[in-house]
Amino acid sequence: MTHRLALVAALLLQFLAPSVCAADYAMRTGRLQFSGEQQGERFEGRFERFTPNIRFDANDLAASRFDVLIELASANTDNEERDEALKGEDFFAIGAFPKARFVTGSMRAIDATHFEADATLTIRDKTVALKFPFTFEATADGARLTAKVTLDRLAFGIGAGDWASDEDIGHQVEVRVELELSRAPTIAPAASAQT
Amino acid sequence: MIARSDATRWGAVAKLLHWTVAIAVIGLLVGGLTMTDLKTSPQKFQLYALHKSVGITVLALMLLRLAWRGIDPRPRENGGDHPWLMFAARAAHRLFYVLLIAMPISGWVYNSAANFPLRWFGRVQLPALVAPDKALKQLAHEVHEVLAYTIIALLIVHVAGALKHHLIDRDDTLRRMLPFAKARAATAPAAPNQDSP
Repeated sequence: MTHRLALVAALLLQFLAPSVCAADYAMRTGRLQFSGEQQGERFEGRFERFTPNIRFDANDLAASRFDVLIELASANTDNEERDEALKGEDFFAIGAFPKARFVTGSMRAIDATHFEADATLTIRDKTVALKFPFTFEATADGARLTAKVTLDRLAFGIGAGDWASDEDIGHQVEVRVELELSRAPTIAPAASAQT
Repeated sequence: MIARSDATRWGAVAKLLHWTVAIAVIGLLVGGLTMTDLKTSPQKFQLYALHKSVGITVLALMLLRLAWRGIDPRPRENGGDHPWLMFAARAAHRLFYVLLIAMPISGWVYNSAANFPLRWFGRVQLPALVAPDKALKQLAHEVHEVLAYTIIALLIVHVAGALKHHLIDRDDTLRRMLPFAKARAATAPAAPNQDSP
């Protein structure tokens, strides 16, 4: 009886607040990697601390939204000198801008697992609009989100001025996201009611 | 000029290798000891890249010298010194080979452990010798530094030895290595003290 009541309540909730339809996810494991070019040679790096708030439902893209905070001080390219420089004034300037923020706007489905979002990324004091193509696939214990975008570091004022030449540091930076997600427990009942 | 050396003089190849390495090593020492204190800037990275390229060149030239030394005859030693001094002179020259080969390799290991790119004059990409490793990076840096001071010390001994031969013994040891020395300079090696009062 109580079970049925819960189901009714959940269904009711669906009408009252459409946004709860989309499931919230928590990151189980994830990688946020980037690769750039220095003196003509590619290097790999990663952000070791970032907080993804993922709300997604392939059937309710209007209510789906990613909001990710990235701690720029956690950038690691396995090179002390480079990592120190990255934190400095000329690059991320973590003293003034410790975090980057990525937020999606409207989303479109390309097929069952491929999507594209209009998104904004803020690094330092620059907010840049970008297309964010991603895949979102259900897995046995949640979902997997992957994406790859290429950014122009100069659009964010990263390494402007003295470092602007692409002979020292390439302008294009490829960013790769790989998140293993679990359904966040609090929203689980509403989400299960829906299916 | 004759490419190969003979009993009285150094050939063009030996001289060219000697002086190219000499200029490169002095430049590397001056650059290496000053560039570490520079503030991080693109110029600093470029200077490091140049230092690495020249260093790798020295490594290649030293290996070439080692090979050339194996097939090229050596001019007669200007004798007359105490046996231990003769021994020290020979040991010093051998030590130069060891140091000038170990030096670029320690730099290469340092560069690899620090996870920096290595492109020879921006053209040829050279592989990393080791994986990124902070402890090894520190060790390689210390070795690189100690070797630098050892090379400076040996360089002083080397120049002092050459000047001793030239000014005190008045033989042709220095002159026969000079780039444009005339062949006649090497014609009287047997009488080192002929001008002495």
